[in-house]
Parts: sequence; structure tokens; C-alpha cells
Amino acid sequence: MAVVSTRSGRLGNRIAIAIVLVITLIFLSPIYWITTTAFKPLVQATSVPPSVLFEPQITPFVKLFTKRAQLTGPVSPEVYEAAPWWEKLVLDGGERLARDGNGDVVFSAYPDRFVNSLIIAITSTILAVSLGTITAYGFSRFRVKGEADLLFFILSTRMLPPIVVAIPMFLMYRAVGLNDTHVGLIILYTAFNVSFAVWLMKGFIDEIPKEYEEAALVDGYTRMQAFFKIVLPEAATGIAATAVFCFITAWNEYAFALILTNRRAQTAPPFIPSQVGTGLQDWTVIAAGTVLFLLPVAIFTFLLRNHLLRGMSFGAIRK
Amino acid sequence: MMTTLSPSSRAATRGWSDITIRNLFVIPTVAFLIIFNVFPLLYSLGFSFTDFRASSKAPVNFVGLKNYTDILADPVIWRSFSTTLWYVIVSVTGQFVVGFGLALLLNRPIPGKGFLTTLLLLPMMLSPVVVGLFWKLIYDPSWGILNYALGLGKTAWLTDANLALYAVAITDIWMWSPFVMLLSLAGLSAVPKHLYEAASIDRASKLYTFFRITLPLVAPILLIAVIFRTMEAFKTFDIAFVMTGQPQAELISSRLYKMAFAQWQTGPASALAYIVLIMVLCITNIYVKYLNKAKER
Amino acid sequence: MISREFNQKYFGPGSITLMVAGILFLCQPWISFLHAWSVLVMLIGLIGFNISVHIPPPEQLVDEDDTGPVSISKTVAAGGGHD
Repeated sequence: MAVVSTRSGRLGNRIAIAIVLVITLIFLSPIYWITTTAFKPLVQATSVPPSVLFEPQITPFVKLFTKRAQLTGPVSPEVYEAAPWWEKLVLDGGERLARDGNGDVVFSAYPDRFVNSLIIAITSTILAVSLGTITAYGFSRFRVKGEADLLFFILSTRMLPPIVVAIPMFLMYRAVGLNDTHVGLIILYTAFNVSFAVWLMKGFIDEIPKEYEEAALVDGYTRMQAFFKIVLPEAATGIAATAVFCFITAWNEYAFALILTNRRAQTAPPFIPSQVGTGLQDWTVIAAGTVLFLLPVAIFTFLLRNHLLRGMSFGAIRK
Repeated sequence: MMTTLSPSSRAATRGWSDITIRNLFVIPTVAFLIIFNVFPLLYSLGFSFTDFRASSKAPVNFVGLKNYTDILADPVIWRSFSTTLWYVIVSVTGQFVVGFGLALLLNRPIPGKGFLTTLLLLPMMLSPVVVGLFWKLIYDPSWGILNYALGLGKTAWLTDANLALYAVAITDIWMWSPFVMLLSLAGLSAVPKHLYEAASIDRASKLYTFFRITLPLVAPILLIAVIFRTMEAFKTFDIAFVMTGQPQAELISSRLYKMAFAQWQTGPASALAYIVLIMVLCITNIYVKYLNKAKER
Repeated sequence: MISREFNQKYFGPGSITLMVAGILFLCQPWISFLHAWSVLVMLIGLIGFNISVHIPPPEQLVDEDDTGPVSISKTVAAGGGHD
């Protein structure tokens, strides 16, 4: 298994690598399929047999950001000539863009939902990581009575099923008017992520030698100065990794967003599926929305690759 | 609640004392979690003993344990629980087999291994609801790629009462096998090399080496992976909810969602939520026990 | 009180068994009697387990002078938490 030097061993190794490559391709094929669908012409997205070869186009993305209507008759050549290139793509597909009174293109709800997702995920990440870091420092460096119980309590809040928490939260938010507000979701996502941030950051801070701060204290720093000037810079990588994990969790969250928002503060996850059932089912547009939504997470996964193990095990397994 | 402090108290004479800093650092988070997690749960514990409906202004009556006994006598909810257990078994077993198998294959020098592993880990980072959505496209009976690629004709994966649960489980396996793989790889790479060398000197068979050396040493980490996935699988909501509406494939979270937010039976739904909560807390306790054990190593 | 040896040998493992059994009783599709009482079984197991983790293990490892920063692993080893 580990040390292979015989010829049969080398052959076995080659076979194993070949199997791994095939499995990787199978694993990635759904992602490949949704990505290509986002660049397909509508007819080819649902054609039988499924089309693998096609001329990529960005029409689905134009449609994703705009409100459209079915064309009733042929477009006059003057109108067609006057339209910008991206509008021509839509006209070619048999639809026209909806325009408001001033003749401006009307945007779809997708950009709003995307921005909501960004605002809520970023704000709650900053709050959760800040709270989590100082609490982790408190647990790491000072004696706290009932430490193990408190840490267990903190982690257990993360394990609660979202629907179970959502029932009372919905009623409480309704009573104080926080339903369908950014603040409401930010608070919930912060609560959800802070427990994770505490556990992960505690592992990172535990690894910073205490001697660093003690030397600073001897040099005349106060505890707070030592924390800000010595510990925080040392923990920077850990903070960044924790922040990315918190961001991804908040970005992907669905159940709370579905129950507690419906319009103004709705994020992208509950919005994207709600488009499946409305009107003409244009899978290319849904695919385009999906690809744009998944893109940040895919990038972050590559940035995070060395910390995934740690994050996924709440800092317990460090390798 | 908290007493003595660290001895490096020279700093205590300057600036804030260590006790102040510790309290300032720890108490806000604990208080925040109590206000936004414990308090709401106590609030719904109260509702679970009443016939409260959030959609009506009717007076709320205390009904004692009736909600709980009703739920435990309700065949539809019972079926949801059984379906959930079956789903957990299928999906966690699948993730274990695929994930651990992949880890065994990957546990050798491979060119570009880091990149390959990261690619394989991609699915678990994606949003479950969006994953469910695009698997719907893949599963489509008439033009989905799956039926075409496997030559299955017009198999209606998500609307067939017998298949829907497995279709959801396959998606879940696709998404979370990488998680088991990631933890298994960590366990496998931690097995000391000299043990394998000793085994090969003794001419131990590969099977013997695997069952006597590899497996026992990886077991603690595998156990963590399996318990964690079991807990998450019991909580599954997003994927199943967007993928299928089949009553035969209804998981307990979807049932709970419908009771609370479609039928507005807030009282009974709170009681069901508490039963689910107790179940999840049981698994969490076991999980944290093994997590701390792994930490000590 | 529960003796430490009894806790480690029977009470701790017993409560874990009760918790797991309760979950299986709740979700099994065959016997309605077990389903009806499953929540009580889980609850007893859960409470028992939380009592059990707060009883220190037989071999004593308590930090005598009670000063200085303490790591979670030490606290757990001393029986202070959810081990």
C-alpha cells in the first residue's frame, strides 16, 4: 500500500491512478454540465439527445439580468439595427427586453438578490470572526470555569437543525419587525457561525506560543496591546481561513433565508429555485444564475485547500 | 461563574486586568448565543405544550403533553422518521464506501495530487440547494443527461415514489463523499511508515496489513466522519426539499417545515421540533465525545 | 452517588446505548410501542450521558494547585467535560 517497488506494485499504482482520474472526471461531470448549460442556446439545453457540442454564447447571462417578454411579431429592421449587441442576442432568441417609461432596460431581481447575499454574508462573517477570535483567545489563554461545558454549549448551537430554530425565530422576528430584513438574517448567520469561529480560532491561537505575549508583557505592553500587536498578526492566516469558511456557510445557507425573507432581504439561494416554477422554464437562465452563484465558492475552495481539513473537523484534526 | 486567572499577572497592574479582559472576550459571545439560540428554543418549548397557531388570533390553550402523544401516534410523521433513517443509512453508507475508497486510491504518490484532491473536494463546498437544483436538470426524465448516458430510457428519478429517495441520496453521496475522503486521507497519512515496512518484512499479506494496521489506526477519524455525516443527514432539508415533493420520500425536516409554515400548526410543530432536537442533541453529544478524543492524540 | 468505576464501566456506555436505542426506536417502521416510548428513552439516555461526563474517571488527574492556564485536553482528562 505505501512502499511499492515491485513491478506488479508499480502496475497496481498505475491502475489506481487511472481509476482515480476516471472517478474525478465522473465527480466533476455534473459541474461541467451545469456550466456548459449556462452557455447554451435554449433549444440545445433541453435537446434529445443532449448536445455536447454547441456554439457557446452569453445570451443566458443577458437574460439573467433583465426582464423579458415574448415577441409577438417580427422585429422591424430599424429597431433591430438600433439595439446594442447584447439586446440582439435576446431578440434572436424570440424575446424582447422589457423597458420602463424612460426606455431603460428593466433589471431582473437576480442582481438585487446577489447583492443581498453579498451584504449579509460579508457582514455576518466580519461579526462572527471578530467575536469568535476574541472568545477563542479568552478560552485559549485564561482559565475559564466550566470551559469544556461552555465550549460544548457553543458548538452544540451550531449543530441545531435550522428548521427547529427557525420556528421560534420567525415568531420573534415577526413580533419585533425583523422579518425580511438584512439585520435579521445577519444576526442569525452570525449566531450560526460564531460557534464555528470560536472552535476553529481556538485551535489556531493555541498554536501561537504563549512566550510571545509574555515577552511583550515584560517589555511593558498591556494585555490588550499584546493581543492586538502580537497575537492578531500571528493568527492572521487562521483568521483568513475562518473568515472564508464563515462566508461560504452564510453564502450557501438556505433554510433560514427561505423562512425569514421573501422579497426585500431575500438572498440568492431561495431565489434561484423559485425561478424554476415561474412562467417559461428557461434552464439556461437558471444555469447561468447557478454558475455565477457558485463561482465565488469555487475560487475560495482553491484558496482554502490547505485548511479544509481543519475547518471541516472544527479544528480538531490538524494534520 | 468564572474565578482564578493566569499567573502572568504583571500585566494586571497595567491597563485592564486579565479578569476584565477574559470576561470582555468570553461573555459577549456566550450571551449572544443564549439570546439568539437558547431563548428562542425555550420560547418554542412553551408553545409545544399549547394549541397555538401563528396564523390565527384564536386564544391559546395549554394542552399538556397532547402534542407529543399525538405526534408519536401519527402514522404520517412515523413514516417520515422511518424514511429519514433509511435515507441516512443509504446516504452515509454510500459516502463511506466512495469516500474511503477514494482515499485508499489517493494514498500513494500521484503527480498533481494536491490539485486533484482540491477538485474532488469542490462538491461539498457548494450550496446544497443549488446542487439539488442542477441535479434536477441532470435527472430530468426526457432530456436529462443521466438517463441518456446510462441508457435508462425515461426513468422518472424524482417523481417515481420508489426512486425519489435514492435519487436524493445519490446527490448527497456525490456532495459529501469528498468529506469522508478528506478525513480518511488525513488518517491514512498519519499511519507511521515503519509499521508498513515491518509488515512487508514479515511478508504479511496486503489484506492482513489493511485489517491489522491501516484500519485500526484510521478508525477513530473514520468514526468522526461517519457520526458527523449521520447527524447532518438526519437534518437534511435543502437538497430533498428542492428536488422532490414525493410524500414517500418526505424527510422529517420537510415534514416539520410543512407543519410549521404551510399548515401553521405552530404548537404541534414545536413539539415535533423538540423531538428532532433531542435526537440531534444525542448524536451531537456522541460526536463531541469522539472529537475531543481525537484532539487528545 | 454513582461510583467512578461504575460510571466508567456501565453508566457511561449504558447511556450512550440508550441514546442510540432511542433514535432507532423512533425511526424503526415496525413496532408502534417502541416508537411511542422512544422519546423518553432518548431523553433518559441524554440526561444520563450528561451526568456521566461530569463524573471524573477513576484514575485521578485533578490539577492540585488550580492555577495557570489550563488546556481543554487537560480539563477533559481530569473529567471536567464532555469526554
